[in-house]
Amino acid sequence: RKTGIAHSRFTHGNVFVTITDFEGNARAQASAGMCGFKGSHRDSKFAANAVAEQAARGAAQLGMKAVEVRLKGGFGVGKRKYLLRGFKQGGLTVLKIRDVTAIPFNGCRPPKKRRV
Amino acid sequence: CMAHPRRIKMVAQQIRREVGEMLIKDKVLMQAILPEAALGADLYLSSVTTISDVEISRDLQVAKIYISVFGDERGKEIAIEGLKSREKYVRMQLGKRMKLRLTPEVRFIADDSFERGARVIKLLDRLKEEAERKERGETIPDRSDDEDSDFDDDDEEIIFVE
Repeated sequence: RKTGIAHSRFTHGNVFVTITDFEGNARAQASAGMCGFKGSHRDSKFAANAVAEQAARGAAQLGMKAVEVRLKGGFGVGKRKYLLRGFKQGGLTVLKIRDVTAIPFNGCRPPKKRRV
Repeated sequence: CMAHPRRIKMVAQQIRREVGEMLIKDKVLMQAILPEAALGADLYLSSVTTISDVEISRDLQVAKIYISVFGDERGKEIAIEGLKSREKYVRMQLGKRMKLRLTPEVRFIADDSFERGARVIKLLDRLKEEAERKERGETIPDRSDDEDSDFDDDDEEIIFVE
């Protein structure tokens, strides 16, 4: 019961963290909107930090000590470091870091290129 | 010739998006920052690289990409060195992915601003706490051996918690 998995998902405008145990039952959950950020601020590094900290606090209250972090989402590259710090600030040790972004073996056609 | 400031921002953001995606999905870059990915051992990461910021010059010729790495010292050095050796490759990839007249020259710069900021905040908190304790008349505990907990969480050592 002392270790779990912290699933963190980075989307285009938001960051979610849900901490579960090894079977997948959720223990604590936090998102950027829950941490008081609104609108485009939810997409920032500080929001990622706050989300991790909030989720970690929730899980630590339930007795969790350490987590394995799973990072999902290609939009998170600028925020991952701040997220990992946030876990520590919330009171959880980070055991392992794993990237579980879904990468196809070349399946669906991606959207067309942006013209900037 | 100077581009419109809004366009500069947009190009910088797009570069950030593209390079960010490349750091995750591109095999060459992944092997540059994490040598064990070449051996296939990329399931558990020993360090996480992050793009802190992208600055691009006013004429869109030079792009400075600030990188910060989470992990131990050696992991940091390896990641930054690996990226620096792949600057030309990144430039080529950017040129393929983005429609620009002239692809900017790419420079990777190590970024420590978050560590410094966090350290400053920690010091300020400590000072505040000591001031509060003084007010209440308590003794100030000896903090000289307080660990600098910035890089504690590397997962080279796996901690087993029962």
